[in-house]
Amino acid sequence: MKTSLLILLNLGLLIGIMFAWNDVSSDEYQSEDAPTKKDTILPDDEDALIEESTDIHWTPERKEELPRENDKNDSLQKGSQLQPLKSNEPVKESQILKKIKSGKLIHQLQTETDSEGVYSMLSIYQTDLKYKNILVEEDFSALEESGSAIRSIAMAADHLLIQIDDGTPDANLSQALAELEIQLEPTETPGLYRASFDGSDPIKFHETQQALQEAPGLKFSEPDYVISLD
Amino acid sequence: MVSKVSKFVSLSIYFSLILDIQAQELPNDSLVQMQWHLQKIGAFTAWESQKDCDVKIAVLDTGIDHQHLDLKNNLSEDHYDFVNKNEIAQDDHGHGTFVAGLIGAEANNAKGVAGICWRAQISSFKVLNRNGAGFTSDAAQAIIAAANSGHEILNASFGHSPINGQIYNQSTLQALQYAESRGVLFVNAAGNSNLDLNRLNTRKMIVTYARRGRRLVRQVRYVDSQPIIPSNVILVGATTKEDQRSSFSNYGNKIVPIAAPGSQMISTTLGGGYGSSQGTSFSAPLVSGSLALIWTKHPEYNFTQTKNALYQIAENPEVKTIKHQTSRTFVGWAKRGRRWVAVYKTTTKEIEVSSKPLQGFFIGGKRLDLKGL
Repeated sequence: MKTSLLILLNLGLLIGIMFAWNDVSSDEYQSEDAPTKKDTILPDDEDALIEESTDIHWTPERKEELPRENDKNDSLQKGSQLQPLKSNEPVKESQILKKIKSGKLIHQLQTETDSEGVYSMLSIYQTDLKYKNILVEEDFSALEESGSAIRSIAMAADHLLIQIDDGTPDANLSQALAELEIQLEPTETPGLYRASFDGSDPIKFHETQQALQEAPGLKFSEPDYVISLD
Repeated sequence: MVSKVSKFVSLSIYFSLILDIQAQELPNDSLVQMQWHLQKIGAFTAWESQKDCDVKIAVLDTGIDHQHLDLKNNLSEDHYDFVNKNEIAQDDHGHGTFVAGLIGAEANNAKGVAGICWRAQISSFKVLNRNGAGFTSDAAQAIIAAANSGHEILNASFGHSPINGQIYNQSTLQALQYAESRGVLFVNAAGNSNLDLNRLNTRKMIVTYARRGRRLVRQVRYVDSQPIIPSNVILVGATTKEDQRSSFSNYGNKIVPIAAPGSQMISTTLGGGYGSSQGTSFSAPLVSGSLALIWTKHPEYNFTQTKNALYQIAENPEVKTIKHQTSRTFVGWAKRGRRWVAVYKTTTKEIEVSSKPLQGFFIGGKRLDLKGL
C-alpha cells in the first residue's frame, strides 16, 4: 500500500515537473521576446522549428533607407525620354514618350522576334515638337507579360546629325549625299550639320544612317535624339 | 527628471541655433526661412564673405520668366531661344524659372526667395519646349553659343540618361569638349531615375534594322565603350533634409562627384509666384550658384581650380542611425500537442551606428557646403 502510494506520488511529481518545464519554456518563448515576423527569423511552422539549428541568426541589415513617399518628383519633373538599357526588364514610359505617342501615327513596323526573344516596334508619330516627325524605337521581350517596352528611344525622323572631318563637305561627300537625296544645313557647332531627308519611313531612316557611316570624310553620324527634363 | 533635462538641452540647442542664424547675415526675403537648403549648405556663412556673383551664368532649360520681379534685375541681356528661334527665350513651362531662382533670385529685396547669388547675371538659353522636350542638336548648339558669348558657367537639367552606355551622345560631347577648351564649366543634373551610373553598360549595343525580302529583321552587335565625361562637367545628385540621397537621384561615384539638396525645394515659378518642387534639376543650380560665388571671390582661378575649391569645402555629413540586431539562443524542448519543438529565446539589441550616408554614392560622400568659402 505504502509502496503504491510512493509510486503514485513519484509519478505525480514527475508529471508536475514535466508540466512545470513546459510552462517555463512557454513563458520564455511567449513573454520575454516573443518572435514576430518583423524582428526574428524564427519560422511560424513548428515542424520547421524542430529542424532548426541552434546557431544564432542575425536579422539582415537594412541596406539603405526606404524611399520616402514625399520624395516622388512633382509635376515639374518630367522624367527622361531616353531610357537606359538595363536588361530584359520593362522600363517606365516617360511623360514625353507618352506625349509623343499621343500624336498621329504615320508609319509603324514590327520586326521578327530574334534569337533572344526580342522584337522591335518602329513607329513614326507626328508631334508638335520642333521637328514634327518623331521616330520611336521600342524593344519588347516576347517573354515579358506586361507588354511594356524594355528599351525605348525617340529621335527626329527626318534628319541625322553628321560631323564632317574638315568642317565642310568635299566633292566626294557632296556626291554621296546627293545620291542619298540629303540636304545639308549647318548648325552652330563647327563641322556639325543637319542631314535632312524624307522622314516618313523608319527603314529608310536606318538605311540612310548606315549609308552615311560608310560615306567618305565623315567623323560620325548619329540621330538627333529627343531630350527632356531629367 | 531625465526627460526634463533632455528637453532643456534640446531647447538650448534650438535657441543657440536660432541665435547662430541671427548672428549671420540673413536677407530679408519673406520666404528665406523656408528655403531649408540655404542653412544646410552653409549659405548664410558664405554670404559673410561673398554674396554677389560677377560671373555670367547660362541656364539651358525651358526659358526664364523675364517679368518675374525676383529675377528680372539679375538677368543679363544675352538670351536665345533655340526652339522658337528668337532672342527672348521666355519660359512657357516653369522649370527654367525655378532653376534661375535657385541660382540668383534677387536677395534682400524684401520679396520671395533668395538665390545663392544675391546679384547675378543669368542668361536664358531655351532648348526645351513647353512640354519640357527638345533635341540634342539644340542642346549642343546652346552649349557652343553660351561658351562663345562669354558665359563661364552653364547649368542644364535636360535628359542625359545613358544611351548605349554613354551619358552624352557624340554631338553634345563634342560641344562640351569645345566648352572645356574655352574654360567653361557645365553643371548638369544627375537625373531622377534612381540609377547607379557606375554600372553603365560598357558594351555599346548597336541595333540596326533591315529588310530580308518580306521579313523585317533586327540585328544587334556590341562594341566596347566607356562613359566619357569631360573635365569641365559636374554631375550633381540630390539629397534630402536629412542628408540622405533623395530616393529618385541617380548616383555612382565615378560619374556623380557631388550632391546638393534637391527635395522639397522652394523657388520662383512662372507668372511671378513661388512654389515647391524636387529633383536633381534643382540640386544642379545650387552648385552653379556656389561655383559662381567661388569664382567671383577668386577671379584668378581657372575652371579646374574653381571646381576643386568646391569639392574641397564640400562636407561629408555623418548621421547616427539605430540598427536592430536580433539574436536567439536555444533554451530547450517543449511539447506542442504530440510534437516536441525546440524553444528559442530571442533578444533584440539597439545599436547606434555612425554612417556616412553619401558614401558609395558620391566621392567621399561629398555634399555641397559653402561654410569654408
